[in-house]
Amino acid sequence: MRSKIVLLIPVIFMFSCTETQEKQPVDMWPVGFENLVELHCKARDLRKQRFDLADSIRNYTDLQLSNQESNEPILADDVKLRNWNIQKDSLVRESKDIADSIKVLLDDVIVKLETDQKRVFNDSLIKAVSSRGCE
Amino acid sequence: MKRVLYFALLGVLAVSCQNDDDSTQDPTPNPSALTRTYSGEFLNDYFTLQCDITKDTPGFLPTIAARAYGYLGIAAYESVVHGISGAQSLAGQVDGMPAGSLPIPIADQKYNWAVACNASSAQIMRYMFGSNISPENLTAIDDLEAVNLENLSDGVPAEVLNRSINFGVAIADAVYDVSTTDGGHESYLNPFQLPYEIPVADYCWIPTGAALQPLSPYWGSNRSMVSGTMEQNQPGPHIPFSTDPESEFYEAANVVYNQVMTVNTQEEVTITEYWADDPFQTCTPAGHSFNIVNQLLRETGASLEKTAVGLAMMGLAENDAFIACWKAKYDHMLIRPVSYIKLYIDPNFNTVIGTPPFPAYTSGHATECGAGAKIVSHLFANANGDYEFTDLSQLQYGFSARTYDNFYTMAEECAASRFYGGIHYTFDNDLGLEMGYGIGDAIIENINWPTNIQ
Repeated sequence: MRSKIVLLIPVIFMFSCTETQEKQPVDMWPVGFENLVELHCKARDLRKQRFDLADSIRNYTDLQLSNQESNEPILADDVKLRNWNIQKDSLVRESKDIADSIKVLLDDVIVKLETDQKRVFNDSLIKAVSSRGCE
Repeated sequence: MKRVLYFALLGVLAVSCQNDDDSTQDPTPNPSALTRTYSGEFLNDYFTLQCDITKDTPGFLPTIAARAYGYLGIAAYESVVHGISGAQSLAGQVDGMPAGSLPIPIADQKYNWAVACNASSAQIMRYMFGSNISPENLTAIDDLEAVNLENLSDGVPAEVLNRSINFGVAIADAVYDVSTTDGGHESYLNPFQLPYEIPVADYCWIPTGAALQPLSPYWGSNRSMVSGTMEQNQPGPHIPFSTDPESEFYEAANVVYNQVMTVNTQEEVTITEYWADDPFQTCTPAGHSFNIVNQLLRETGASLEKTAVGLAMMGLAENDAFIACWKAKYDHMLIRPVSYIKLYIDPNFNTVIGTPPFPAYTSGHATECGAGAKIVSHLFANANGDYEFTDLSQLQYGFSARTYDNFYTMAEECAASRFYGGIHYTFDNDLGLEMGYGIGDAIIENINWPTNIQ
C-alpha cells in the first residue's frame, strides 16, 4: 500500500505541474492581450502581403533582366511596376501603423516579464493567433 | 598575539573595502551625479527612432545604416563617459579620434549626464541623416528630444541644464567632424558609389535583380572605428571557383540548389524571412541587432551607464563588421549562388527571397550577427556563455518571437537563414561568422571599456 502511495506522489506532482504550465489566464499579461492578438493577426497578414508583393516585383524584374541585352535601367515608367510601387507605399504605411501600435503594447512585456514568462507569453500568443485562423 | 592578528585582519579588510570604494569613485573631480543614477530608457528610444528613420530615409542601405548607428553610439557614450567611474573616453582609442580631440566637461562644474546625452543623441542623428531626412522625421527627433528634456529637467537648475545641453551638442559636433573623414561621409547621397566598373570574369558577381550596380563597392576602404579590425579579420581565399560538375565549388552551389528546391522545411522558410528583415519594412540587419540589444538593456533594467556602453560597443561592432565584410566582398567579387545555379545547374532556379545587390563572399548577415553576438554575450551572458533570450523585435512585423538559449545559437541561425534562402553558399556563412566573432572580440578587447557597469 505504502509503495503504491510513493509511486502515486510523483504522478500527482507531475499532473499538478502540467496544469500550472498550461493554464495562463489572459489577464495575467501586462498588456491588452486580445488587442495584441488582433493587431498581430493584422501584422501577419500584412507581412504575407509584403513578401508576396516583393516576389511579384522580383519575378517581373528578373524576367525583364533576362530579356534585356543592354545595361539600361529597367523600365522606370513601366505601368505594372508603377502600380506595384503604389501598392507598396500603402502597404508600408499600414504596416508601420500596426508596428507602432504593437511596439507600444510590447513595452510592458519587455520590461515586466521574466525570460521564461516571455516564452510562455509567446506560446500563448501563437496559440491565440492560430485559433483565430491567422496564418 | 591573537589580538594583533585580529586587528591586522580588520586593517586588511578595511583597506580592501576602501579599495573597492575607490574603484567606484568618480575619477574626475566633478560634483555631478554618476551616469548610473539615470535610467537608460530615453537612450533606447533614440535607437528605436533611428530604426524608424532608417526605414524611411533614401540611401540608408545596410552599410550606410550601420555607420549611422555607430556614430550615434559613440556620441551617446562620449556625452556620459565623464560620469562613469574609471571610464576612458574613446578619443585616443577610436581611429580618427585622437586623444584630446573631444570636448571635456569643466572641472568643478555640475552636469546632468542624461540631459547631455539627450542633446548629443538628437544632434548626431540630425547630422547622420543629413539632407535626406524628411521634415516629419526631423520633427520626430525634435519631439523626442523635447519630451525627454522635460522629463529629465525636473529639479535641475537652469544653468546645469544649459551647461549639459551645450556639452552634449559640442560632443555631437566633434563626433560628426570625425565622421566626415572616415570615407562614408554623406554616402547616402550615392549609396552605389558610382561610377564603378564591375569586373568581368566567370567567377565575378553579376546583377541578380533590378539593381544593375552593386552596393557600396568602395566601403572596404573606409576607416574602421577600431584599428586593425578590417585587416585582421579578412577571410582568406574561398574554395576555388570552377564550373566543373565534379568540383568542390559546383558542389557548394548544388547544396544551395538542393536546399531551396527540396530540403527546406516550413520552419527554415520562416527563419529565412525572419532574418531577411523584411521587404519594404526593414531598418537593415544592423537595425535588427540594435533592436535586440535595446530589448536586452530594457528588460534587464539597465541604467544609462550600461545602456550607453552597450550601444556604443554594438555601434563600433556593426560599423566595423560591415567595413570588413565589404572589403572581402569586393576583393573576391564572388558570383552569387542564384547566378551560378541559373548559369550552370538550372536556369529556372529561384531563391526563397530576393538576393541583395552585392557579391557573395562573405555573408553580411553572418558577419554582423557574429560581431553582435559577441557584444551581447559579453554584456549579458553567464560564465558558460548562456542567456535564454526571446527576440520580440520582429513581432511588430508579423513574425512570431523566437527564443534562443544563447547568442551564438542566434547568430548561427541568422547566418544559416541566408543558406536556406538561397542567398549564400555555406562557406560565405561560416567564414562570415568567423570574421564577425573576431571583430566582436576586437571591439571588446582593444578598447578600454569601463568595468562593473550597471
